[in-house]
Amino acid sequence: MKEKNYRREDFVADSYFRQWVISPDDASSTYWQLFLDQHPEQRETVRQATDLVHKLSEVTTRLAGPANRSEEDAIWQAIQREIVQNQEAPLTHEPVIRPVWSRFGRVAAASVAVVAGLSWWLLYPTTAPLQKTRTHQSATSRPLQLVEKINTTQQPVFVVLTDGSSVILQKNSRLRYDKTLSGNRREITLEGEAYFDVAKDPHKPFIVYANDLVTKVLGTSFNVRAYAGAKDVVVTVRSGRVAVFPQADITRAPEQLTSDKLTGMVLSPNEQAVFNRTDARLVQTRPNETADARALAFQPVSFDYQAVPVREVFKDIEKSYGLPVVFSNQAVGNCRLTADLREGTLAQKLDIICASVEANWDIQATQIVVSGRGCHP
Amino acid sequence: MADLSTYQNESVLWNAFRQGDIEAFEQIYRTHSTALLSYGKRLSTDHDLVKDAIQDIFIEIWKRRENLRDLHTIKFYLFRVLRNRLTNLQQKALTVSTEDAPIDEELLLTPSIELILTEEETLTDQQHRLQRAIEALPNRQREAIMLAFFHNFSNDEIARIMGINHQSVINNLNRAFASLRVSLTDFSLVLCLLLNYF
Repeated sequence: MKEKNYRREDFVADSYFRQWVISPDDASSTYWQLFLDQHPEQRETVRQATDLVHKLSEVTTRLAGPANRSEEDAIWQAIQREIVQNQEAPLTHEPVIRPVWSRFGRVAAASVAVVAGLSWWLLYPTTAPLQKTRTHQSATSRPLQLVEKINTTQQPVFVVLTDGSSVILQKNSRLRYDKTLSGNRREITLEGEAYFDVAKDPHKPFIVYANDLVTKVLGTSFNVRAYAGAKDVVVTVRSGRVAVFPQADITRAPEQLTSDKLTGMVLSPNEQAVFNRTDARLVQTRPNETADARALAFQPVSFDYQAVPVREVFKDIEKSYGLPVVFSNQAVGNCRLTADLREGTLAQKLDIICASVEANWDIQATQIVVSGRGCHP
Repeated sequence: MADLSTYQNESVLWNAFRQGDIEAFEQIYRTHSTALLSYGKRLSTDHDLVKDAIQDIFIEIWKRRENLRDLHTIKFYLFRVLRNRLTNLQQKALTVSTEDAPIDEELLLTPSIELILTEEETLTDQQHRLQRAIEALPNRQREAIMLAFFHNFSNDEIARIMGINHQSVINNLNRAFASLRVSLTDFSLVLCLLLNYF
């Protein structure tokens, strides 16, 4: 503003003037003070202009109407849901989800350059207690979209993978995997404890790396306990058959990973393998009822239903998987289900139940939320 | 809900968000949701449409977080995107305008707002009347006023949000000031004349 004799509206229409009035800083204060020194005759106009800016600011605040918190919450819920579906991540305040592709992309590219054509090491940042973890990936140019899920809550968290497999991640545990699970095998790195309910795909083995032990399955359910500080890695099988072998063996016989046969130590339901990390010894045992209460708790209930209210069905799910199920509308619990749910992963079971009673399910925080119109009792 | 204190400062918040921290994202949403809803509802009477648009915008932001520049531009970005979206969705509601007609000099010569808002009236009366007068403004003028005085955008930012040039923003504001005077003058014509001419 260089010329003289402005009207107060000229000041008010000037954004630098408004900024000075509403949130003055050193630069704007100096500027307007200098202006007033040079144009003392404008003092009164500036005073009135200041006053007008304040008045308009007040009045427009009233015009904006009160904040509608519930509306804002509802929109946020919808945004969260959408993000969860795209990332299949447990989505709340507690579990932290970090797609780590951007951070590791460079490391990955560098590694490929050095050992092109071989399998390579993927180095994770060595923040304690996370130890160096190895994922075997063929050195193709396909970019990895690494997803990392950390359960920092005190409850188990349910994670659904893109292939339909379900993972129940226990507290203080983390999973890392390529989001798309593409390639000729489905590979997951685990630290801590998780229960895996693997969708059947005989041509794409599902492989869990945990503390130097490799667990390979074609479609089944099992629990892996591999906390960073613990000397043992424990794999407990609930259904189907599972192969386990020390990670060191892979260097010797890499085909173990890709073949659609199970080699190494093969476990059947209610069998357990304990891998001692100190001497790299792998022994087969029977689960101990006390020590493995959680792994054994994932026992199949009948899961074969004839006109049973879904309220009961979800109770079985809660009991079997250790995850709370809540209804957004209690009437949903009245709907009756006739179905055989013995096959399939948890996610697939939920899909079937919800499709039959016209409901939807969703993972919110540490619980499964079922919503729908519901049925009369 | 996370509050800003979870993050030491804005750049920590922003970096956390860029790395996929949902809490940081919620914080950013909460910072802007009230203002956006308020702005959106002024642009469209279809409030569900506004909510959907806001939801879509934040989902889009989440997907494109790697490419977003910084926290200081995001408010401006949000407003501009929301307006574009709502404009596209309901063309006609926003295109009614006489905006680029020259300013009527007569209006500028009418008594100023300060004179209308005399001290004989209570503060509340003044505010109510000014409020009603703003409500009665043409859409674009009212929008410019809201963006300038409630949302504290600069004229440049307002220009880019509304998709008009810088001078048009100033014209809109001036036209609004003029209209405010006119509409308020009707209520207290005698008083104004007295103050103005005697």
